[in-house]
Amino acid sequence: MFFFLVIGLWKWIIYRWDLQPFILPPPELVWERFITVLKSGSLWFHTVFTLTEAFLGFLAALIFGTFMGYILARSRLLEQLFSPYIVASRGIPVITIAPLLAIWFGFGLPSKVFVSFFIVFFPMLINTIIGIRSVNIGHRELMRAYGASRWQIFRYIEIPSAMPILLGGFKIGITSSIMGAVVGEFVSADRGLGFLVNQSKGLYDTPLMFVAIGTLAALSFILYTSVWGLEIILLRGRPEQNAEQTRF
Amino acid sequence: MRLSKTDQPIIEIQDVSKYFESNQKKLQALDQIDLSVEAGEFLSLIGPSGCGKSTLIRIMGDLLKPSSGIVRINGKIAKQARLDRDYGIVFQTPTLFDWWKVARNVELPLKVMGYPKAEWMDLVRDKLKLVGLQDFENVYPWQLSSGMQHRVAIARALVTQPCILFMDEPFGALDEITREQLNLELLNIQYETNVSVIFVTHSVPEAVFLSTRVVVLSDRPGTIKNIIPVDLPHPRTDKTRESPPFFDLVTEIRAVLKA
Repeated sequence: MFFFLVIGLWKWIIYRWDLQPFILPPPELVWERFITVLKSGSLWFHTVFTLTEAFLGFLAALIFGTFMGYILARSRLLEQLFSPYIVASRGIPVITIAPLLAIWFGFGLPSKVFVSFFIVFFPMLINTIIGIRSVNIGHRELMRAYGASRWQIFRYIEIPSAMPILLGGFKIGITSSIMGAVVGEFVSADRGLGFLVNQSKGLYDTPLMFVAIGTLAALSFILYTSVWGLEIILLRGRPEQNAEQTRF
Repeated sequence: MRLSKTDQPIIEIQDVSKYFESNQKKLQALDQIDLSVEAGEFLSLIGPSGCGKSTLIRIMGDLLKPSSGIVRINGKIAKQARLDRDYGIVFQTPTLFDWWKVARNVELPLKVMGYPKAEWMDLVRDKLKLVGLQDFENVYPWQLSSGMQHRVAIARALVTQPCILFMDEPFGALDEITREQLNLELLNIQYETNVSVIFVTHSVPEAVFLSTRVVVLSDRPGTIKNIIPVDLPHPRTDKTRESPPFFDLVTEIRAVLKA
């Protein structure tokens, strides 16, 4: 329903202001372009590339972010030592370090993975710290009373307690990872959906630009929804899950 | 479980003091506590808010270190007793884990202590039956009433069949009706298991109803003001609460508290 409304509005805008296709292409032209790049395999080629960058960046940020987050959550000293740098580095707009990363890591895959990592790392780190700190003091005391080992506390108490907040970080991180990959591609690339947007801009191939942007949106949606599904599985049976399930 | 009065005391506290330090201020919580508890006793600690009752129970459980003095449990130092899992503990809140069903909550101590898995279910069922929750093993804790949640916490504390049960104001947040009901059940549990209970409370009637002895602590720093034996007959029932000796003891302890 909403979809048709948007299409209708879209067509009406073109009609009302008599816009040229290179400014605002009509939906059917975008659809046509979509079919051609889909059939030629080039859309798939670029999508896979962007997805790989985003996924590797996300994975690296997931591993390092949760690992460092756990250490900082458990050690006041390290937290005080590192937090100013982490917070300061967060203030740097990613778009300004992307060129630097391109110089350091070349124009291929790694530089985009790093940009993606850089964006995703922070939400992962912060959410891990908040998550681990959210462990109920009583639960910790109880585990101590039972003489639980570090590992048992980690596995039975810390991970499950932190899980809802960690998953919140995943949700932010997974969509940011796509953003990071595209920013990386904007700076320097010869493939990927971000590159495709750039290229179509140069060729005034606006329908293709729409296709690339639409694919990015679809990608975000699919990834986000997968994490959401994961969340439903992992948090099954918890009181907060008993309430109506929402996407956010 | 062994229970003979000729044995050494199950808990021995000698000259225990505790200071907390914050912002260069030294705060004394406990001052030279001496106390010994016989096996099978039900001992209540009562005193004004902030008098160190909870601190004392945590020192007994080796969850806090005393600044000076010695705690022996079953003749062992407190740390060894904790590592040997000589006691179970119940806190003011049930501290159950929302992400596990009741049975898995109760089996946690067994899991942590490395009991053979084959024994878990029997022990868990046995203790759930003891607290009257045999039909609730597959329910999540948040689906239970607060009284039932406390029963689960008691079942969990007893699942390893410890000889001591530490209870830190376990029913403090409950309504009067639920609380009296749980008091009765707790006594029945004690009759059945012979576990020694150390019980922190704010309520004088609760302490009198449950205990064999009531330890009255002074305001901070906590010292032992008096230890009052409660020789009300067993088994205690709702009638006990209405008997004159019960009221006399309540009055006596109130007087000691205020003195």
